[in-house]
Amino acid sequence: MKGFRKFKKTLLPWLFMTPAFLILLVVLAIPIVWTCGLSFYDWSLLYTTEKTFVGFKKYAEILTSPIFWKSLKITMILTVACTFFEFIIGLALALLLNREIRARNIFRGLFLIPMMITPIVVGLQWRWLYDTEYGLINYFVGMIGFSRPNWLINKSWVLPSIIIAETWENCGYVILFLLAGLQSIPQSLYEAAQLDGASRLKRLLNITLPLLKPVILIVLIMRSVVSFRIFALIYTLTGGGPANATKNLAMLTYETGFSYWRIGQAAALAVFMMGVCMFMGIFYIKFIKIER
Amino acid sequence: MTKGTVFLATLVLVSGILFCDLGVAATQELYAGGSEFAGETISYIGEDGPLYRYHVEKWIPIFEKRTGIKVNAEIVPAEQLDVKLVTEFLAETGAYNIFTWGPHQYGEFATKGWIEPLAKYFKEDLAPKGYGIEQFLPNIVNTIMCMNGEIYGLPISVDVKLLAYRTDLFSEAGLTPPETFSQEIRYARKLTNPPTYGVAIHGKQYDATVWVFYTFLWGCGGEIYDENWNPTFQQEPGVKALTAYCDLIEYGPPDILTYDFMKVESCFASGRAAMAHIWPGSCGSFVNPETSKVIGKWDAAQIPHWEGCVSHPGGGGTVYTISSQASPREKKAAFQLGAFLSSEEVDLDSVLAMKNASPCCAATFQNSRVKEMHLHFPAMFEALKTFRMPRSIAPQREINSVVVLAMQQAAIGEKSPRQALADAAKKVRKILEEAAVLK
Repeated sequence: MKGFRKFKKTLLPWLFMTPAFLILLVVLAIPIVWTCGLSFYDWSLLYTTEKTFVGFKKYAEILTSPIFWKSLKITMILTVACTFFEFIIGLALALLLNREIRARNIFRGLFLIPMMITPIVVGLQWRWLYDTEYGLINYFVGMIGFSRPNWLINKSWVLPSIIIAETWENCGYVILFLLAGLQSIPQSLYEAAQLDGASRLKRLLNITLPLLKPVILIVLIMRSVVSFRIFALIYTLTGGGPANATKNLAMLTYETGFSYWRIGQAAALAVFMMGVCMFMGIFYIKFIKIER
Repeated sequence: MTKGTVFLATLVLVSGILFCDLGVAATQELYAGGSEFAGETISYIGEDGPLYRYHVEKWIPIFEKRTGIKVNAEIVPAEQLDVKLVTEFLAETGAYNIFTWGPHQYGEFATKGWIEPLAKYFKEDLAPKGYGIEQFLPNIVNTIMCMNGEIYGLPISVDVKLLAYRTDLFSEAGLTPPETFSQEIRYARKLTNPPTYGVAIHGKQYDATVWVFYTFLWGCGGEIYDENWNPTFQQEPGVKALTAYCDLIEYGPPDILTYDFMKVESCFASGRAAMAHIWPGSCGSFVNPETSKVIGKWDAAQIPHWEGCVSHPGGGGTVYTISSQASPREKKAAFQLGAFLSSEEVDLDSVLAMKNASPCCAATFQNSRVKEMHLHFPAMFEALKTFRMPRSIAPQREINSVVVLAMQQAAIGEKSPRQALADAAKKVRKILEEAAVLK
């Protein structure tokens, strides 16, 4: 009995977690380690099935490639802009939906719909919205008297177009998380602050945001990582064009690996992307100091 | 009625029955006697599309019944097909014996010995009676079936660039289909009257757009490489070709640089373009009342060319290719399936069933019913005489991407056509050196 109790206390929890660990090992850990390993090989499937160990040569190749730096710049612009707008708009909408407004539940449902649509469908849908002649956006732009931009061709407008579409698609995630966080904040704190004469802005800055920090951290990490690797939307909207103006690192990695079959180089790009995502996570954790 | 008339009528009737019987007997001869590989099981994978689904749903069961060969068939989206195949080939699973493939990609698989050269199977009498290379148009044999003189594919559809044009708009303007690029540009300018534009053509940054440039390049008398694989597309004919393309798209819809084949097709079908550079597969939507506003108002013609040159429309197609990792018996049984699916019987039937607008058999083009149903066939038949594909080489896809980038850079004014092509040629040279094609 004693032995069984000991087993129940120490080993049984691990036994229950083993299937999940195995799945994570197979679909996450092994592929990551394998990819890291591949990044040290010259393996171009176009010419040979043999791999040749080359050390850090593939990393040197990508770091000296002009298209890599261009793609990195595009990726960082998309990541920062999408994360910023998704957070700001998501926070604003979450604060609004946390109040007692009419048809609140209907609005909550409506704001969550975009995140349930397949990214490819979102891309196709926005392609039509951005259509220069028949798109809804240019219809309203024309109505208010401005000239109708060529959203997906003009280099000045193409990145903002992607940012708008991506933000529209993913705000729902931010709203969902922040709303859950907001609803866990005790109302008594707000009542007490109101009694003390604190304004709405002061309540937001001194109660809401500090107590939301853990949720904000998760939201920022999640959105940054996802925005860093936008693929489906760019693939359907522009294909990386015009003239590589929207080719981010995800598109570049996909092309390098699955169009040009340069597996070693694609693996190096993927490892680089993973490194940047990890760095972003660490940066956020240190920046948003959460007091235990 | 006299005795003579009755006798003559009877003779005609009996002859007719006999003739029909002969006709039915002729089609039934395809594996009517079964196959020596009865009992063998082979695996097939094809890309998702109306023609391949038709093969899987209608003709593979017929093949199985006639030959006794069991076929495990799988259909996957086109974008997943090559990744799936590469994975299986690398792992040497032998999972697929026969698959749909694009002949412009022979180089990727042939260099690694993954696909089977097929010439010997024609000699081993494995094909149905009456099947042979001679049933295909000669140019199809040289382009789609072969790489470096070796047969790797059994053709089922051929894509060749055609010019679709609005007969009503041309008639009103007193024009005939343009023969040269300068005519095409002039006509496009004349016929541009928003919301109708002069031309719809590929512009999006993706693989298929490269066919536009290659078609223009060959039509200007240029070549992609010389005989030693040195890039030559950046020379004067290439500059003319890219300049003509850039001039032409000025008369296209404003967002023409986002146009893939679907948008080109829908633009023309909806009546928004006076001309369009199309693939034959688009023609189905031009005659479909649900999708077309141009029924009875369009026709197809040859893609224009430069003055003094010849039109060489670019294109590709789809073939059935056999895995070299299959066992000898599987390969032979797979060849029988590929031969069956690329036979005249299946080719004609798939065209009549409106599942294939791009047949490969000469006899199909001569069929009168087919000519009535598919307006574009006369133009396509002519185009196939001078149709071309690039010489197949392993890194062709990467080279195509470089060329498409040059097209976009010139089209948006980032670089001049000459500079864009010169920069592209340097990158292509580097790719060819890495591939050990160029020293």
